[in-house]
Amino acid sequence: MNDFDLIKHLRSEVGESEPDALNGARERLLTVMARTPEPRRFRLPVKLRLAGVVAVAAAAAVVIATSPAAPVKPPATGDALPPVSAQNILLVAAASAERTPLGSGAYWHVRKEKDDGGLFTESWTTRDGQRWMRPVPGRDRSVVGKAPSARFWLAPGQGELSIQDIEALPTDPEALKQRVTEMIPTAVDHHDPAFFPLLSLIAELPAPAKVRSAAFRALATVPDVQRVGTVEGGEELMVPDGDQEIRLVVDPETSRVVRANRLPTVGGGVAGANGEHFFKLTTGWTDDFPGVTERGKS
Amino acid sequence: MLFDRHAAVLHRYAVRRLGPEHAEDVLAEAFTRAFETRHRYESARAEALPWLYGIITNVIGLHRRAEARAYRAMARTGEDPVTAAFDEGVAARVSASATRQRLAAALAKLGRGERDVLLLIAWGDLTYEETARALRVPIGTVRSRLSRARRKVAHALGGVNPVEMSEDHRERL
Repeated sequence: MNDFDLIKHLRSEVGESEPDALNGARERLLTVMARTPEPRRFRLPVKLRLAGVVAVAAAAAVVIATSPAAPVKPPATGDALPPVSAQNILLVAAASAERTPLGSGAYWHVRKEKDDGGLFTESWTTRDGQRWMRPVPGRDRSVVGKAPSARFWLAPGQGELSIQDIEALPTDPEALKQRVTEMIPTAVDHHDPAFFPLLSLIAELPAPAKVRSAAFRALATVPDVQRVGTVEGGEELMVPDGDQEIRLVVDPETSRVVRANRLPTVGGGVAGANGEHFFKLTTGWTDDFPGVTERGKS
Repeated sequence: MLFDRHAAVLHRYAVRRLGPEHAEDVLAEAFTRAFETRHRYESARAEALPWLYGIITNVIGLHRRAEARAYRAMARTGEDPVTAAFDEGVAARVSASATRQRLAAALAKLGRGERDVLLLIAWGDLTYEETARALRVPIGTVRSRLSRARRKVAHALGGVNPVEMSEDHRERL
């Protein structure tokens, strides 16, 4: 074996990186991406833009000329929502959120699992402002460690709150929408500025029943939320977002977000599943806490 | 997404150079930088992996003291702090501890540019040309840094003549 081959084999026992080892970095990247405002749209030179307008006008003229007999139906006013629209699903979820108290316990527990049931991330936060989490970067995945901060966030890196702040949020949908918009200086991506905060409130934040309900109602007024269809565990909704749309499954009966491919997290990040995958989300108050793992043991 | 395609390979590379504790941070930082400079890459239309290797090499460079410390520890004790968490059976079969200690001592002493070139080729599996693109240096610089690095490694191993090894066994263009 020559010098080069010896170097090549040095540390070759380092295994292929497991997908789990990448989750932390992916979350941080998605967070940065979500915080970055959309670049300004590419603008065509004036001359080309004018040429485009002319072309569109010409096309319209052709359409008018060739289909004189097709009267355009004016949109009906006061149309009822289609039986199963995204808005309807959100309103049904709002109603069940209102009558479903969050339960009790000493820890606000947020657990995300992979499709196969393996742990993705997990955190426990107490009312007096302490948080533990796992996995801890660079440690065995079963290790529970203290998180540096126990604050909650409405959107990636914006809108920092305590549990008490969350509980004091407005319970009227319009007022809530306005308040969270004020708390977020920069809209995430090109979304309605209220979108990410409302998503946080229905997904990972410990919002009381009336605030959650208001968040669902407010979300029903945000354009772009579309229904994909009925899936296992609930209704799948989708929000187009460039080439990485947000998909989430809401159970209208329990009002919980049960699965998603991307979500703002309690800690001000964005969690994203690999490729086309979803992760499973469980949230709630609990007294069940595995305890901190001592350094060096696991 | 670029991350899903390349993160695992880059993560392993970072683990090999710095150990599992730093790798996640390094990976996150590298992809954040890649995202922030993505326009530069998109306009170049080149393959993404060498570009990403270049970025992660810069980030690893911020930790070069820690990297060298681990090589020196391995040189001194024969124990590699980076691979402590992994099965050492493979490595033990590959080379006796004394050889590894010498290799580690040599890696600790290489200049930054020499080590980057050597390890991008040996561990990152890049070609000379990809290495040149990753580090944004001419291909001649890659060749000269690699041969200098190999001469130093061979010297540390006890005077094996590196000239007998074919210089271009990594070129597959």
